[in-house]
Amino acid sequence: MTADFSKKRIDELISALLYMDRLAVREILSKSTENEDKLHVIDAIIVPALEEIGRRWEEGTLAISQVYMAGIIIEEAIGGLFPHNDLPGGAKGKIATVVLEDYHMLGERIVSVFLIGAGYSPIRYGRRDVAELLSLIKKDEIKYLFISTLMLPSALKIREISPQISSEGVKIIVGGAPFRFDPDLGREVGADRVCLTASDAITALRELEGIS
Amino acid sequence: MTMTSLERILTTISHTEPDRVPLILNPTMHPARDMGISLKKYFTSSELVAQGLISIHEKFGTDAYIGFHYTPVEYEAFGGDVIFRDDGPPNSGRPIIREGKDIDSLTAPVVKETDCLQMVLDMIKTLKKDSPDDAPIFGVAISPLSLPVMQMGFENYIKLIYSDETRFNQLIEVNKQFFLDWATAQMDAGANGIIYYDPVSSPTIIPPELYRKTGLLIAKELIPKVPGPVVTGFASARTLAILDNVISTGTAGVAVWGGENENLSEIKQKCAGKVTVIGNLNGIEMRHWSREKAFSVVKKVISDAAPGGGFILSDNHGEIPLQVPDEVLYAIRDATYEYGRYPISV
Repeated sequence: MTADFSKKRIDELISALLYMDRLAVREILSKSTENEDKLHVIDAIIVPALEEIGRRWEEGTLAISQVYMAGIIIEEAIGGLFPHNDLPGGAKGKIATVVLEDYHMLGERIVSVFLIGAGYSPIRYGRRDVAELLSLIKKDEIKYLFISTLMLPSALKIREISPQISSEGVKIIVGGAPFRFDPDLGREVGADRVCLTASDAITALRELEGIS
Repeated sequence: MTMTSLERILTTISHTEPDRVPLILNPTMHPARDMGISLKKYFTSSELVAQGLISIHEKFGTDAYIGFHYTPVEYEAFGGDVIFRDDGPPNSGRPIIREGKDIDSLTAPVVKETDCLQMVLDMIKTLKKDSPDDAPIFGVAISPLSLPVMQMGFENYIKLIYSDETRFNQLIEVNKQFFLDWATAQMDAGANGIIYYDPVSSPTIIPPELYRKTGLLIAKELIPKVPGPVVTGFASARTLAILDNVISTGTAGVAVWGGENENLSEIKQKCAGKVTVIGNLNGIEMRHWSREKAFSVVKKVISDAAPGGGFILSDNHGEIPLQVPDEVLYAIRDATYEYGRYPISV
């Protein structure tokens, strides 16, 4: 694929996602996978499209509702590309997403669908308290834990688990409103990475894996 | 001549310069800490919250009372559970709307028959009776477009907005009726104005073109029906892209966050002479501020937004975290008194 051709496909995909045109998304991706390896399509088209959507969210030209719907549609499309939930996995260790102790799950859901869009297979823990989470990440042998927060107290709760899970080799990636308002908060709670957008989650994971 | 709090606020919202910049700080949880009681005990007592609001007013030199217990009180009125914690504000529990048919049978709570709402109204009445001066009391009512985030969860609500216009409109209609009843009851109890809390209308949450078909129309319909002045709050979300529309709703003020990729000076320019700007201190970052840092931030905010009036200094969200030390709030007060004297010379 030439760079121009790829760029055209990426732009078409972004446009289809923002118009919530599921048929167009399916068509763009199925055409791409006729002649190419599916994993290459993820890397060459889907991830750059999600990264651009993340960039536009960060600059303020897209709303979170649009980011969410784009992620949901990509998740459906990935289901079509890998029909038996047979994602290649991507990560060298298991991934989980979680919300600590509140019912605001939108951020966690968006991160999980963006990761799925990038070819990963995160486990969604949803809402958990600290004790439940510690037990789950041990049982599931999680290596990369994405924690989404909306409220400051939930973000500060991460301090209660970060020393223990870091000592077991689990990488903690955090995101959500409190981290946008306080650049030092990630360090304060013991996170390995702070994400300001859902697409940052993909970059952070790849960096931590030593891929990029 | 030194003005009273009410004179100061009335002068600034009429877009002329008062004696100094009015200050509104809302550290909702600090009084419970000072009283040595749990947040749950504090927040479920109208007497304690009224007492707490008066103590905040006296300690930190604020010019208005935010007559408010906790954000999920309206969701609680619809039958939701409130989760109390010791380190932060009460939060909404599991959504009460879990499937479409829950919207079909949803009815607005009757204010006078709903204990948690009566608790807030009792607090406003007590505050009115016991407050030592004329500082205005603002009630709080969540916009019909924003309340569903708690009623059904953010994710399901976004899906509803994009996929089921009929049920979306049904839900909004119920919430519109409730909003007016609730805002009116607070005014009747003694509030001098209402904060129309509408983060979902922000371009952070929905695109401006969708806001113009939903949140804008709702606000234009409801704000003129509230029997008193209304200020619109966006909970530190973006506003610039919709500010002209917000100004057209009849709101008297807009609570903003001119941070990240928005700029307070630009916000003030757009609002000058039309609506009062309320902001712009970062309540999350504030936890770490030294006195010097507080002075420097307050000075910059006053320089950007205070000249000409039409400005109230406040935090960017409407609720200051429990983790913010009193010393920082004292420093904000002192800096406002030092730099906020009109004519502004910083």
